[in-house]
Amino acid sequence: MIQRMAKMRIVGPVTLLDQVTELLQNLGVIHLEPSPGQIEGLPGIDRLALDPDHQKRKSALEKLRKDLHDLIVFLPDVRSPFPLPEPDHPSPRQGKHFLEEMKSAIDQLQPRVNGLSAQVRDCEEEQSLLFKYERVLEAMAPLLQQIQESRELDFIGLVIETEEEAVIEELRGVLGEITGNRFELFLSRVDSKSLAGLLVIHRDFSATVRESLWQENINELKLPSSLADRPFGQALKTLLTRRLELPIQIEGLRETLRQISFQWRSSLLRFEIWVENRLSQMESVVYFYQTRFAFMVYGWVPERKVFLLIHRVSRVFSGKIVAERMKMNREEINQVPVALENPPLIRPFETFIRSVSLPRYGSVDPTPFLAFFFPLFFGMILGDAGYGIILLAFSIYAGKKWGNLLLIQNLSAVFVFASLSSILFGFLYGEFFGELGVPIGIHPIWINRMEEFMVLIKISLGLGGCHLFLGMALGVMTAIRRREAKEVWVKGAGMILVAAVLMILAGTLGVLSSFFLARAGLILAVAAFIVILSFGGVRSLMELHNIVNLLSYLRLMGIGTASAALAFAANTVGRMSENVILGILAGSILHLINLLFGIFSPAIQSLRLHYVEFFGNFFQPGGREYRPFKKIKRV
Amino acid sequence: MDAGLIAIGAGLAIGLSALGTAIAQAKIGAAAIGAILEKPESFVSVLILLVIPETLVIFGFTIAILIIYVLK
Repeated sequence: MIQRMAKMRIVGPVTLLDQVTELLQNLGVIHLEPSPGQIEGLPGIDRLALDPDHQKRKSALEKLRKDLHDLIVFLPDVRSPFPLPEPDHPSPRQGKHFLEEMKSAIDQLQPRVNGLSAQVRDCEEEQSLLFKYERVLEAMAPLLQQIQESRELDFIGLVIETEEEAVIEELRGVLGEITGNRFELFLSRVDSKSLAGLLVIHRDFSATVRESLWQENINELKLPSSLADRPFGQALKTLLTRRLELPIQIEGLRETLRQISFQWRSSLLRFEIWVENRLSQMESVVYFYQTRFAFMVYGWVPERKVFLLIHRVSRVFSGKIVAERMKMNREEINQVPVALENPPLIRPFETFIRSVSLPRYGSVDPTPFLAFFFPLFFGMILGDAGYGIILLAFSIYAGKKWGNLLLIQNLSAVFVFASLSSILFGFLYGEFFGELGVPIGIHPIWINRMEEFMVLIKISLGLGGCHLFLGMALGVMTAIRRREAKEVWVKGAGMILVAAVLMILAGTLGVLSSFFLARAGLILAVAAFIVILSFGGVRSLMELHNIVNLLSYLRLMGIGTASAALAFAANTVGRMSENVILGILAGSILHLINLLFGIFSPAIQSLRLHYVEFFGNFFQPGGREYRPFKKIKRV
Repeated sequence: MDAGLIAIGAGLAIGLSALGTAIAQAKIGAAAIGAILEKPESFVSVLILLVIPETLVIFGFTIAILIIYVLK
């Protein structure tokens, strides 16, 4: 249901503004109204502007927030073995001390943490650069032990593709010609695709040899630019040493950061929350108005919290600040924020409402109805005890495993109800993985879905009629609440029209074998049609959509029968195989596919029956969410 | 009536309605992907729009059942 709201006004001297915003934030019950209609444009009343002192403090806090964020982002999330205490909210006096203490800690920590983080970043960049040479370095490491550094010798690293290995002999010939056979070429396999080579020549031949390598299209190994000026052998040795040193160095730096984090992170996080809350208090003044000496602010409070607000304001400020309830105008009804309040068992179904839109204030919250009909429709469609048990187990597991995510928590709760309903209908239909339950004594208690199609059609239409009827009744109720007389007539006649169509169908299909029932239905339908046209005009003919919508509920039978038929088909395919294991495997795969369809299809179809057919009669989307001005507990 | 003709009638009822649903869903589906990419929060509304043409095949299925049961 939608909580009843009261419009409140708080008035007092500007000198108490800070204390008032702090109290309102602590209470956390008022949704501040940015544009209260009555006050705009009145002489002598303006939007409240922060004085220079407040502006200065606000800028300082904003800078602090940025510094804190930049600092915390570099500190790894090291969990303290002790649970974090609730963020403390120091009083203004303590707050000043707290602020100075934390500022000085940040000033000390910032250069240290930034320096360590920069070192980690540099080392990681170097490591990723070395990673490119990883395989070549591994291949070259044994070759380096075979050579001796000399100023007269030049070392050239080569990378030769395996496909072009034939070029090596050709290269040896060319090198022999250039150097007079005074060269050494060491080779080592890097992987299946390439070879690493180390060519040792006299410096005098360097230029000629490099030109020949280029002509032979042989890749010379390019070392990082930081080592380019060093002799090749020395550079390679440096790379090999760094390759071993870097992980230890990075781990050391990270350990230091972890220690700092362990000591400081929780305090910094608490301080960040404190700063956010202080800033939020200062920013809240954009909702305030002022005269020369007084301020005023308007907002919305749940009715049951009105007394709390008035009482606390009066007690804390000894009558210097007045919190009073205001009269709400009819035009303001769409401006009132909406807070849904449902029992814990029903609350998870709010997810489906919020995913469309919140209902407007003064209309009906459809959550309780959805919480009843969604599992009912889901169970009717899936209707298999075996599938229901698997879905129930999975829903409970998902709720426990990923329950920290609100969406998963809510969906798992919804599907627990849906799967229980499916198990119940499974026994009513006598279905346990199709007809596999027959040998263990599971027989249809109510109806056999594979045979009694006509009964299912009647049940689906009957249930659909009730669902639509309820939707239309809620529509009439909403119209009465909102005092829309024409709408009451049109929606009321719409209800009679659907009832008349149900009577005609019942008479024709022989549910109640009465010829007169069908005729009475026809007369009622014509009468309702005339009322709709008279009160609502041509536009209200849209109300006739409920007749078509009624037929839409045939999906309860159609999708359900298809699901049952697939389960029977899975068993038939399983039995057709002469190999028992193969049969079980084929049957299981088909059951699994049917189960996957069985989760999505009934859920989507049930939701659609609500969103399109049911909500269309009464739901008024576009509600503003109630967001009370309150302290945050985590950033 | 001839059982073969009844079966053909029922088959046509469900087959043609399924074809209609498929054509409609193909068009809505293509547009839906574009809409979700531009505005991810429209997922639920788009999903509902996508399943609206399924009513056609449900009607086809019901008519097929009625053909079989009424004319049998």
